[in-house]
Amino acid sequence: MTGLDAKNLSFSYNDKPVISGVSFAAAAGETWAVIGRNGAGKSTLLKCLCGLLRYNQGTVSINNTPINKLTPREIALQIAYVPQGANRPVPPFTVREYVLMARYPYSKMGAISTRKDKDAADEALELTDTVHLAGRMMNTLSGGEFQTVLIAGAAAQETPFLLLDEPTTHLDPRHQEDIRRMTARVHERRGAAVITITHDVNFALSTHNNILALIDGRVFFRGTRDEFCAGAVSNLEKIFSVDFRAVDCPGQTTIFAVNHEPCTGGRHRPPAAPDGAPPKITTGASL
Amino acid sequence: MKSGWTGISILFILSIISLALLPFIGMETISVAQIFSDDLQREIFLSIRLPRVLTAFTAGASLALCGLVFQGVLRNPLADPFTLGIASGASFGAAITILTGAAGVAFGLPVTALGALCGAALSFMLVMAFSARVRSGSSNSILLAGIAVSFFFSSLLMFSQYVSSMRESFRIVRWLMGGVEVFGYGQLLTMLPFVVIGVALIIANVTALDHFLTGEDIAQTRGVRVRLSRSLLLAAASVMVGGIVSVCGPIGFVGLMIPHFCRSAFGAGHKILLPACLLAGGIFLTLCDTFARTVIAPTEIPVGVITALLGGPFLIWVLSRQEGR
Repeated sequence: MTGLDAKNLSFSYNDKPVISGVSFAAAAGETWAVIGRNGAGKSTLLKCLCGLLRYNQGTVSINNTPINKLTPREIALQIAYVPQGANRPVPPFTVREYVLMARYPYSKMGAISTRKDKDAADEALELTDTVHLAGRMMNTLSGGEFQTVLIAGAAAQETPFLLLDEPTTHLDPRHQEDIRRMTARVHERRGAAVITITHDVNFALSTHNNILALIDGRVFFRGTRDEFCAGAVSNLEKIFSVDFRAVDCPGQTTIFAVNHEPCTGGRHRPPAAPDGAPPKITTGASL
Repeated sequence: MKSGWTGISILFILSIISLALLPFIGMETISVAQIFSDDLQREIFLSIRLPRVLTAFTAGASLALCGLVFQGVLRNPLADPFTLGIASGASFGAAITILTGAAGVAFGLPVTALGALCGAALSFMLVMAFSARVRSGSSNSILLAGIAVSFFFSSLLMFSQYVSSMRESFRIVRWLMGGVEVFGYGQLLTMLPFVVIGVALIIANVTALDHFLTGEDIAQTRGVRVRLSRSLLLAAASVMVGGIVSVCGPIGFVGLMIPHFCRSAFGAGHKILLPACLLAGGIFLTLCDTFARTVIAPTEIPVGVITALLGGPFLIWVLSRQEGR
């Protein structure tokens, strides 16, 4: 098929299997959220998809060409990858220089200076609302700004596929919303397929049309958002082994995890009932 | 970017000036007129001073570039031929040949130089064999391995000095101090193939050095052949270090200091740092060598002593200005 296609993919670190028999295909223009617990193999899958890791078994192909037959440059023309933003080396360049460097796969002899490259970099900065950061050095950026600039770099690569590894983790609600908007914009304006790893189930379900859920390196669910939402709470409970509640807020349904044990310590203890009964937790379901 | 190329032009002009001027300076200053009138002075100028200045410039330029490459590839500002153990491997190799009394010329190289080259290769391979077992991104462990290898060879060196005679021991110590006392152009020509091959490989991969700074994962997904470029760059720098050290001995500090100085002056882009380090390294070592052979003439101080003596305080000054900002 045309698109990014993984068949029966397995990968192990030092004989310890991380993903086993994962099949997954993203057609051009689709949006996928990849969810699962820490260590379920999400990042490993993403790295196999963009050629960073050599899988042990199975195949990954882009538009029917196996990825191991492609050079890094040929892959880079198809897939842009945004790794997790925390604990990364901070390149000692300005934001504009960093974004412009993403044009490397289009360059000849490593020289990136054509009008087209500069326009692509400017467009990527505009698309990700990072124009105001363009002259800043990367090491002066906040965590949230850094993450948006990583995405700006990937956008400048102008690829039909964009892979994001936990783009909103560690960010404040403002920056989470910014990331949500800019990935949606890259998808809408460029028609790029977006594959996002996230732990934010509401982000996963609100901005992605398809869901891939992994449990212990195997596919637990693969399908459209609507199929997933038919049993969203029970699906999520199976994936994470935590209770979930769905709450209808005006305009959207929000899902959140609830603790098994009520909070009995700390300063936010709910007022105890007069008869000494355990404090009653108001859960989402009862709202 | 524009101001950067102005800086390169200034360095280039300074290089030309130092290459043209410094051979005239020495124990006795030679005048231009003497070169044409006085046979002895012409001989001194052409076969002693000029090759020596050229050797110093080539060695300084190469060592500075090697430092830049090691620091760029390992993404660590402490990487240089010394911290990676290459220099001490070379020193041990040279000491062995001095100790065993091997002399003469093999493969067009003096045996001591050949010993140094083998030692450099051995220690480099030890460090790389270790780093191949380490998951990428762990440049700290590569440096630690380098330091371990360095101490290992230093101990072997001390042992070999301990068991050697006074005379051999002195030759080893003298070799360790580094120097560019060459006669004629033979040693310069010995070094040149190493330098030319090294510089050509580094120029071919200079863009990769910029991309390494963004992290190897991003570099690769942007289309850089990370493993290939890294191997080629490390091999190129090691070949250069081997060639230089085999002729000049371990001249310290140039590879650590010049790249730092250039970064603070020219920023982090390697396309400009490459010529900057070549020129600044060349100028620096040529000046140091001139200083070494004139300051208490007729006695010459080994240039390796001067580089650290002048370079140490200078680097601290550059760093304190940088960090103080």
